[in-house]
Amino acid sequence: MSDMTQIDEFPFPRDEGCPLWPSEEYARRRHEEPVSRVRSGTDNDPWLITRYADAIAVLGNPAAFSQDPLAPGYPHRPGHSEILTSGFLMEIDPPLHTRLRGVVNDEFSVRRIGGHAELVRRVVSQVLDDFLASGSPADLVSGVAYRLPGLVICELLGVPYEDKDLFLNWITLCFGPPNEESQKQAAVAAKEFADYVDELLTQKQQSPSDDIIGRMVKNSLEPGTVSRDELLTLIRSLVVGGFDTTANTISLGTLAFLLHPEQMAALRDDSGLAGNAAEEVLRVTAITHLGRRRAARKDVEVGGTLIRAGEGVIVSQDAVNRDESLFDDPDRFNIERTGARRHMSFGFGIHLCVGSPLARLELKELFAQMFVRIPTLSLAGTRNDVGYKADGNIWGLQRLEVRW
Amino acid sequence: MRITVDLDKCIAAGSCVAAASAVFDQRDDDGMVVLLQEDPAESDWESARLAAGVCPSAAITIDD
Repeated sequence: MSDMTQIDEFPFPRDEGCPLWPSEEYARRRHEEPVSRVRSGTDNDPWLITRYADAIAVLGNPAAFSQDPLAPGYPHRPGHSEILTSGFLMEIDPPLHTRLRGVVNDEFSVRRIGGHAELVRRVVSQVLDDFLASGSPADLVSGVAYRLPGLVICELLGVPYEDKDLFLNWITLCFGPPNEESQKQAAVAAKEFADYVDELLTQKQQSPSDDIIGRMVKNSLEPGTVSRDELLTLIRSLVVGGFDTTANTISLGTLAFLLHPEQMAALRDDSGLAGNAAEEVLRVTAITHLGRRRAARKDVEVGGTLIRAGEGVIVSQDAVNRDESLFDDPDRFNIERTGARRHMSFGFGIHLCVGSPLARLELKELFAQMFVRIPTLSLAGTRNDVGYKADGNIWGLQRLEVRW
Repeated sequence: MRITVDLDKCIAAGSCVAAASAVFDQRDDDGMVVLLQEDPAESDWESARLAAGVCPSAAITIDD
């Protein structure tokens, strides 16, 4: 019987010399103690899942492993800001989850999102035009990473053009850093954002529109499948789900390319690789570094370990995305990797990211164009000058100075 | 057992492939589901049911 692994604070801190990649502790546990305890800011010590097969066992069993933050033993995110997320799809179980998810699913199918490819390409092109026009050096995080998903959300939800800047400003403030001043601003912005969405919904109830909100009004609100309050929460959750997340994947993904120039060159020379490149970016960036969290509702054996009812579970996507049983040479950033899309960066099972087809489209179109439009893109300083953001809900960059 | 997939609902998550790779695959270009066996052998029934259960967009229907 081996000594119990020391109960370390999760997430495991990144190596200062190589902060882009996750801690080596994930691999160590995956090899030596695939189901182990961690400390995660609460009084219970949840189980950490590091292997792909075990992740499927947990995330594929919502009856046994609940999403509900009120369930006994749920491992709450330390310092998790509740500003925007309460009542969201991520936090509810079937059958309520099933009804609400059904309202948004059709808007985010591959076929439906595929119909927006031209729009996304156009927005990418505009964002890159504006970025180039702003002159080198520039911060890619504000100039590209947040602008692309923000503008796409505005277009798809049908936010009127004249409200765009206001809207983008609110949602950017909602995701500010965890200091007191920013959090005060975030609270104000969240209220203004919520009020605006309420008003926007009213407008679209009065004048039917051909956009996501308009269609959800017609297909779900009017027939009574969903209440107005539920629809408001859903709309807000779409914004929360698709803004900061995509933005940080873009920043980190771009940094990965800048640090692997041969991959950047390969993509520049063949933009047909962009789809798979997007998957490999998703795999290695895994921005939800706090993991997928569940509370066990019954005793279940996972990976040879008994998890009891009332215990918390965290599935580490950083660990699972580098499971050697699925990914050869997993620490290598390789945009031509077969099976790259098997990553779990969007989660797994009934709660798998609703917006994943849109995120994939945005990443694919952006990376297809970025290195063709800006072939000499490089870091403006050294890799130590990059502004990492490791203390929030979402892992990412607050600043990425580049030049061309 | 008879399996059908609704391509209008598919979000290319690949959860079905992870759950039942003998029954489901994904298209290379867009990741859309490919049903490998409409009427799988009994040894695949449990994994097929798991796949239907984990599909995030409820695109898989099982009649058995």
